[in-house]
Amino acid sequence: MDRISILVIDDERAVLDTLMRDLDRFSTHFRIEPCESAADAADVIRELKADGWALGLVLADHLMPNMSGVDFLVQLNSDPYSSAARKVLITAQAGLEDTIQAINRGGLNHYIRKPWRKDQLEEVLCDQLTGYVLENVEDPLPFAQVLDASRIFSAIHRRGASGRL
Amino acid sequence: MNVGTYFILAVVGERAAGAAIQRDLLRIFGEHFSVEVCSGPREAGDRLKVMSRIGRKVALMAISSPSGDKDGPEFVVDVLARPDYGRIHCVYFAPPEDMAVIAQKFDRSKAQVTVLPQKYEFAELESASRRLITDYFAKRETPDIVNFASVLDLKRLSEELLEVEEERRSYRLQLHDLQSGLLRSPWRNETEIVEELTGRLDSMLDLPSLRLEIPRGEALLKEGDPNSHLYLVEKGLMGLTKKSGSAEVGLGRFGPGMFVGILSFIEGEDAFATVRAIEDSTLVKISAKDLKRLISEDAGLTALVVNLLLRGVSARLRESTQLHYRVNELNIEISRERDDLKAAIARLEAAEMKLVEREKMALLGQFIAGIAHELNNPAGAMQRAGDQLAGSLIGLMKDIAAFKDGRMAEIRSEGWRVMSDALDKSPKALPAIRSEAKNYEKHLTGEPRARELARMLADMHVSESEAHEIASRPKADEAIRLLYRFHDIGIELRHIRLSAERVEGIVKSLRDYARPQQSEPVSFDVRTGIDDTLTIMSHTMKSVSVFKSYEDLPPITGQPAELNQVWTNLIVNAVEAMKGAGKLWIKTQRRGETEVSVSFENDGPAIPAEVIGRLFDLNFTTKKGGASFGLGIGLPISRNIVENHGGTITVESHPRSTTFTVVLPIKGEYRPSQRLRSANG
Repeated sequence: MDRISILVIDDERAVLDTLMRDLDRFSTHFRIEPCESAADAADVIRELKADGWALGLVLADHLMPNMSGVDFLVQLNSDPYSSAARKVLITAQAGLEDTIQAINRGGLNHYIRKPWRKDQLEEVLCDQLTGYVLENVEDPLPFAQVLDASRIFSAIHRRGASGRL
Repeated sequence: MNVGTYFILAVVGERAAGAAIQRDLLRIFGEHFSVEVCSGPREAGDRLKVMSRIGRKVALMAISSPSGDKDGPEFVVDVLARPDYGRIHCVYFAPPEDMAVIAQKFDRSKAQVTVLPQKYEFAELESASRRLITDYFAKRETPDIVNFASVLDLKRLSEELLEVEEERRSYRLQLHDLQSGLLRSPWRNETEIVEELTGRLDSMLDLPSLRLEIPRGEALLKEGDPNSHLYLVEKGLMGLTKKSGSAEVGLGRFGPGMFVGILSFIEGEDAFATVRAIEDSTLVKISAKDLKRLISEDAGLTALVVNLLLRGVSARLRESTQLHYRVNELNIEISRERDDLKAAIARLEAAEMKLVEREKMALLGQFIAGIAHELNNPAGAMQRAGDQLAGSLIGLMKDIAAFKDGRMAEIRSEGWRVMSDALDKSPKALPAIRSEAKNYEKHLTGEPRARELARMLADMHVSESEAHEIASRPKADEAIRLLYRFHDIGIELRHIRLSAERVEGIVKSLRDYARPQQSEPVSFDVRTGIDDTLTIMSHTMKSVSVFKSYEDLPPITGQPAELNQVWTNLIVNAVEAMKGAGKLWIKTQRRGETEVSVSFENDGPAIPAEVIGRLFDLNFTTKKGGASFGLGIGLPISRNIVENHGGTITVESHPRSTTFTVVLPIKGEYRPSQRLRSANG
């Protein structure tokens, strides 16, 4: 199975812990790394890269000291290592101009309002990760267990039909 | 001898002649009248004066003057002209050679004087004097006449009475004419009126000389000019106007047959209005003298003139009344409009107040929403943690049941410690956790999911040696997972505790923030108030980095809730200046022995020079919608509150550094002021 990581970034430790718990379902198939700032996340990304892990998804809070979530996520697009990763913003600041800009510019894949519901979060991540996996992984089948199985199966089926593997 | 009201006076020159005259007169009139004699006009004049004073009247005067006498005729003429002597009738005995001349002298008063020769016949004297005295009494219309009937010329008397009767009848007719003329209803047309009037005027006055031609537009009379004439409009149209303020008010139009100049003519004042020709007009100018003559000589004309005057005046009255009504109506309209305006103003003021209230409520609403959000987060977190806790507890019990290692008691006490540490201690820093995990991973090679287990060990509050010890145990993975359950429970309990503390903090801050005015000022630490305010406002300050530099401060005296309003105002202003994101430095310091200072510095743009002087002005704002209420109460009010505490508030502004500094006395006298001052007050 491909080694894919998920990054979760929030400057409030309690929120970070809760996010980690809510994403526990995916921990069997993904390496989930918590970070408390954009700088911290940059360090972790370096380590992941060194360890040979691919970056599948970055989930970031927007309001953080020094660098905002939007800016960080958009920045990831300019690095080939992280450009394929799905970018999800989680924030209490709904309708924020920056957020809208980022989404419009194609920098974000999704944004979730705080406070979030666990099932809502799981659904978004499942969807985004499934998309990533189908686009970047040769053998997506192992991930069907925690992701959108029917989507994965249909994709595999289509690939088989077109002769791709 | 009769001494009565009436007597006969003989004025003679010579004694002898006088005696004869007296004797003759007595023969004729002695039964009823006394005959008194004077010698010469001078004496006669005195006698007349005296008699007149005591009320006696001369019924007849017989005067004889010598030849060539000029005084005699003069005297008679004078006496005849004196109304206080009555209409004296007179026999004048003239010398034959002077008779013609003297007769001429009395030409004017022929009816009252008969001239006889000095050598007269008694019969002549008798008839002349009877006639004269009869005339005298007839004209006097006195009832006494009956008494003297025997000496009067009865034939003459009857003629006289008939004459008088004739005159009376003529007067009665004239009066009747006048009465009916006055009451006559309007003529059929103007032309008739003018014709009749000018026809009659023409017979009395020199009409052509009295005619005036006034071309259109020219003024006949100007308001305020003196006027003593009445003008009849013969042709054309005249308009009356009067100045009112800056305008000319029309008082009516007057056409043929109407009079103008009535008011000033009748009252004798200056012209009341300006009289101007609206069309080319012809007027007849009548003076007071002419009018008097007209009235006395032609009763019918009088009636006509009076009638027209009345109509003219009534037309003026009508115009004036209509004007009055119009003015009244306009006044009512104006006062209605004024009421409407007042009502509109009242509505506007009410609407303004509503807007202000709405703004207050809106801001208050935002404020409350912010608080609610703040409370919502910990509330949600508590709920989540509670749910998690349920799962973790069940998981823990399962894992304990499945745990095969005999060191149950040890694990349980270890677990209990891990749980308390997770509850009480702050979580370890992530970089530290990562490096520890890397370390532990080496010791866990061989275990499935070593990375995960190493991470768990690193998360927990265990020392490095303890961690190594656990990692080296057989079935280390089971031990680690079981201990991690305890850790999770501790974390979740910690979340619940932190959230509860946060809710408590918010509620306390809210209560303290809004503490009602104490009747007595209290002693308090400004730092607590600032922190409470920051808590309340944290929702709006997510992107603001707050750097607090609190020096140790003694408590001050005052109203903490009021000062909290000031902190709120200054923080709101700072956040707005930074457009929601930036840095805010809050410093509290002691100043000398007697004061403390609190400063708020933000890194937003500088306040323009022209604005900075007016910051504390009432009604001055750079925000649309006026000073903000609810969350912030405006700088003027802030200044008021600071000054009530005996303190000062100042501002200094540079690009990327604007600082508001509040200095408060430690032992201050809190003095609430009555109202806000203006900047200059």
